[in-house]
Amino acid sequence: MHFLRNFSRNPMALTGGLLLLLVLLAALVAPVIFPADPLRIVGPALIEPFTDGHYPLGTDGMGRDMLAMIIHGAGTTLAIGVSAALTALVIGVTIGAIAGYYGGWIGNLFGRLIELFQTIPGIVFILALVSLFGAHMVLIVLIIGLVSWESIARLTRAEVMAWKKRDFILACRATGMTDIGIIFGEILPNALAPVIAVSTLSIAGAILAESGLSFLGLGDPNISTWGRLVGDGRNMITSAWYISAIPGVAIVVTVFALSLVSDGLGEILNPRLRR
Amino acid sequence: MSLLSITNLEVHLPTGAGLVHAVNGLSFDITEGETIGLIGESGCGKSTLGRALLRLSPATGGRIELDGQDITHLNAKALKAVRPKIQMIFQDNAGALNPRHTVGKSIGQPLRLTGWNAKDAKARVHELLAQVGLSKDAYDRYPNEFSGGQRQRVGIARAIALNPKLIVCDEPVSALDPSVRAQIINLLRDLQQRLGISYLFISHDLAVVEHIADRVVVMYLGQVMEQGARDTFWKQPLHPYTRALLAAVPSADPDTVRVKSVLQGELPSNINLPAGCPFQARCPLATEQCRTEKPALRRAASGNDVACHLVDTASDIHPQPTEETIPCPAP
Amino acid sequence: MSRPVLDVRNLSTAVTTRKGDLTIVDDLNLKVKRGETVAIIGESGCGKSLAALSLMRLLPKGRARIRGGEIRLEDRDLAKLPDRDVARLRGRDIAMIFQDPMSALNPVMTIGRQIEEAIRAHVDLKGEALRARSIELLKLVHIPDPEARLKEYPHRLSGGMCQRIAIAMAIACEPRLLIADEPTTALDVTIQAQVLQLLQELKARTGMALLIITHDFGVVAEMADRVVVMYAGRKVEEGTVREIFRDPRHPYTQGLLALTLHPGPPKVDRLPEIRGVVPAYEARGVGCPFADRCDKVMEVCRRQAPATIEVAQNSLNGNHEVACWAAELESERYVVTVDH
Repeated sequence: MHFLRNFSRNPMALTGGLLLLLVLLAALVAPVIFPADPLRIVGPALIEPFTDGHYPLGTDGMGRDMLAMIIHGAGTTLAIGVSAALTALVIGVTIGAIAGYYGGWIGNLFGRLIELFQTIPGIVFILALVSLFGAHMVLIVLIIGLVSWESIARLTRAEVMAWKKRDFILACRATGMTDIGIIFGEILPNALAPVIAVSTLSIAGAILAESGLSFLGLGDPNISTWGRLVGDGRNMITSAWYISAIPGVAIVVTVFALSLVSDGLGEILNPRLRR
Repeated sequence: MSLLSITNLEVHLPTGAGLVHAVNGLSFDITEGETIGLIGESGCGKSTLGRALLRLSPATGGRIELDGQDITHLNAKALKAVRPKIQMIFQDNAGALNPRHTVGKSIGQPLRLTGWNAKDAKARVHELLAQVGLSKDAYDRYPNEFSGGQRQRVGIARAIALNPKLIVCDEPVSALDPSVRAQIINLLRDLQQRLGISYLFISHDLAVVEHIADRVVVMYLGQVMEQGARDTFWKQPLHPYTRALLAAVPSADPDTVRVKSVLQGELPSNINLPAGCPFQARCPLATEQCRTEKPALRRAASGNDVACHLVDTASDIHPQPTEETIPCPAP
Repeated sequence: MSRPVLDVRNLSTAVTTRKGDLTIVDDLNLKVKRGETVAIIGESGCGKSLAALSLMRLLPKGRARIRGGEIRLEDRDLAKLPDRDVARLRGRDIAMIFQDPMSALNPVMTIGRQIEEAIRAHVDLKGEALRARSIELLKLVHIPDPEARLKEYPHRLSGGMCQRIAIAMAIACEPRLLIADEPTTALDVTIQAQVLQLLQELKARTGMALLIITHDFGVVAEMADRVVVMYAGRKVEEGTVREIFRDPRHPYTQGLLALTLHPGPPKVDRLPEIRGVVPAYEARGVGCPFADRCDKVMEVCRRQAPATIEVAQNSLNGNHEVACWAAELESERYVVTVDH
């Protein structure tokens, strides 16, 4: 496929992609390599990383295997990040497309809606909603999605407005295509290229948001994500820094990989189609 | 009976800056197999007129009759049956095609939309490709792999897919090189002879219109200034605007000295239309009557219809500008 | 005869592709005399715009470069000058206007500010004197109500007005040569007539030379003293405007003239076509680039690129030259029958 070839030719996208593949791999092999519950206490507490062969990344304050928790955390962190980004994508593209395609009061209304959400400070909103509605994983995903859709909507709206003016849209209308048909069949496939690139980045944003929540102890208590691990090691930063640092590095690497992929996608998908 | 009949058509579009009076009381007919040339400067409303005929811009007044049926206010459902009869080709040949669709998909789209199955549609598309002079392998290629002239052929193939009776050609050759222009004009002519299509050929290029049009309509600020059949129109243009347009065309003879009176100024805004004749602001001969009373379209002896107070329709005597241009106030 | 304002010798410009340099403008020779109008006529892809950008040394760095030849502007070779020195010449000795008037102006600066910038690039004026000169320039290009225009932004103005302002900015420092790249292609016929008349007027007033690039023979007939016909990066014919119109020798020139439409009889049913398409630059072989489309093609045309020969000698106005084997054959026959 054209796309894979272009992807592999772009050094940024390739590096990011490979890193992400590693993370994904970790998530997938977790139940195989570490079949037992990672939150189980397996040994003495506070073993330093790279000292003991049984526990390559050491153990935490309660004697849990760091490596097992990191590997398992990959899956949960990615899952939450991707679902939240997907939620934001669906809401954002829908609202953005309507705001961009329709003029008059509909376009205005949806435009104002986008602006409204633009003014709401993200973190505060997340914290407020989580405290109100509780900290269950599905809710957290929805809430993060609700806070992040607005930048996607703005981009979608701008793209739809630009593509709407092209003559081929007139030609479609001249053959009797419906508005829905035009938006989904003609405009969005063209308009979504930069949106996809931005969405990749919003996965990173979602991961960071969730990590922040968990770090503050407001995440879902039954799920162990990297953010939660960082939070657990909060009190021991000076003595056993690795408990927070190792999951922290994992988050940084993943976010970095995502931003590389996003930049790479932006380069690959955009200039070609702008002609 | 005419194929298309426009009566007192008005298209007024609300915009941020005010109400744009794009088309103001336009009337003319197109018969089967005929080519009408619509001439005017940018902003005179000719493109809006073209779109209104396809019901892509709403008509705010007047009537459009296609094949005897009043289509001015048909709803979307009723329009579906009418749409195949009237299609359009565009000036921007790249923008007229979805860059993500192959040529085959773009041309086949009107077919699929009207219920053709995939197999028949593909066969028909190949037939159309041959008709417009493109090779078979164009089917799977993308618009950016083609030149401007070839893309215009794709646009034409798409427009004739449903066997329309009328095609609105909105400046189809303005963006093309002269040699490609000749090819496309010849193609349009051939298709007309073979398929019996009528054209509404919108252009600001008088030479092209003179070559291709059976009848010519000159538009200014949404109204007809002059119209006539090919034989009489170019021999005896009567309206000062038509004469000014013709004088502005550079002659392809280096020894011809240009007429001194070049029409000054530009097309004024159509948000606030002047009372009286729409051409008054730039007309070197405008009188008091021109500023207050709108001239009606009257038949002159030579056969042209002309809307000008100063033309003596009985004897075809038209007003002559003096050697020195009377400078006109800027719009 | 005085030295030409512009003397281009063997100019070659190439664009950089992944597979190496691709020569677009191939060995171009061109002279523009003081106060003369030379028209370069050709269709898309003939290299005329790239040639113009080369003359102004405005080629995008890293994507195109001058591969060889000289661009003598009076006594300096522009092709060899360092960027800084060329910048000093632009606007002052040689200026350019482009096809799309709307994009020629900066949308976030007022008209007045842009004109002032153009003036101050080479002339040190300030305050009231600067403003007065700006208004003077706007009056020169017949912009109505120039004082009010100074404060306006480009988006409020029409294409015709923007092109006039672009012209005003280009002539602000009275260049000896103005290059106009398809200046009226995007404009209506009436506005085109106004802009062309303006260019003639400015030429008469300042004595500047004009190099106008177009694909429209009507514009050529109206404006040009001499005509250069370009095809696939090469000059295929050159002569006075009368020679080109009355006695075109190259089959491409003949073909283009035959299909040029202009109002007035006689009418033809089908326009004569030049079959085929312009060859891709990568596919350009050793022979004549027009060979595949030419009705007079001979075997030698495919083997060897034609040399430029003089068809008529007219040292006052320059020579009528053509690069075509068939034309060379015909002219020899003609010369033989006439002279002996």
